[in-house]
Amino acid sequence: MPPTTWLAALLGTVGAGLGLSVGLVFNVRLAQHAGHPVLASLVNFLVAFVLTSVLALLGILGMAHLPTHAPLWAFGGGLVGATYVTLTLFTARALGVAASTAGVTLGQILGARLIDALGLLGQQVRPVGSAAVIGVVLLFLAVGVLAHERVRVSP
Amino acid sequence: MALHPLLPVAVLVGTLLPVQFALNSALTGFTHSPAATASVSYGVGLLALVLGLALVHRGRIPLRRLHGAPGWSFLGGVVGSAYVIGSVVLTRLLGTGLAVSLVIAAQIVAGLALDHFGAFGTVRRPMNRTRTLALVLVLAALGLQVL
Repeated sequence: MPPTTWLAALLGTVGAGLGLSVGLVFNVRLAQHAGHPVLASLVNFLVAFVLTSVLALLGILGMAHLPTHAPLWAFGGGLVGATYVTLTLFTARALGVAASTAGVTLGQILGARLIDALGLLGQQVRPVGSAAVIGVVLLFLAVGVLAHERVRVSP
Repeated sequence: MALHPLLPVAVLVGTLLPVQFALNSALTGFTHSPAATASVSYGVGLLALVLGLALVHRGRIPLRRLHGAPGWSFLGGVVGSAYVIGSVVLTRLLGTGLAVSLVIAAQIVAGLALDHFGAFGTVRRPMNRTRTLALVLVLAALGLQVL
């Protein structure tokens, strides 16, 4: 990969990882106050919508085009995202955070590799090699180890 | 850990995340801007949440419950935006598989760091042998997938 690709990937990873984990801390605090996690998600989506709209209008990260020719299904990302956020709240409640996190992570990893292997949803086909398979198993083990530790320290 | 009958449901819910990555990545082919994709994505999600909440609460979304929460706790979306934008950039560069792995790994590392320092008023949970093992597993997992 060229150096600019590495840099973009690094920034993307840091942004996504910090955004998700730090954003969650903020959101959990608001959800505790409101006693209503989905209401906190609503605030989260509203603030993020306003901010990203401003960024798009300013042309930050590329001159934005109206996606007039995009197929309808391509607009489904936000719907899937909102469903995902809401459902994870329920699985966490039904299963406990540890088991829910482990199950959800397994689904994330399997789903992602399936999309790659078959080139679903407009993605290019990227075959899954054996090193990648061992890699995802180790990643899943890491989530399992942390989930298990969490159960032990907080009964 | 005994297997819970709802565990397969959690696995299915998890598959929604890479689907979101793929859909947003496809949309970026038309918006030419990860920020614009994030805006559309959050806008559609916002609409779905408003409709869902209005339905559950029979037209009266209980916004009053948010009253009095600390100001900073409303700003999760500012940090959260980086997540959708970052996931779009990663998926377009590397594909869904690697993008999802990188995001999970970054989340674990960030989570361990937040816990270690007890940042933003969270309970302090310093690194220990188990957590170091998890960190090593994450780094090995990434090494195997990137190389």
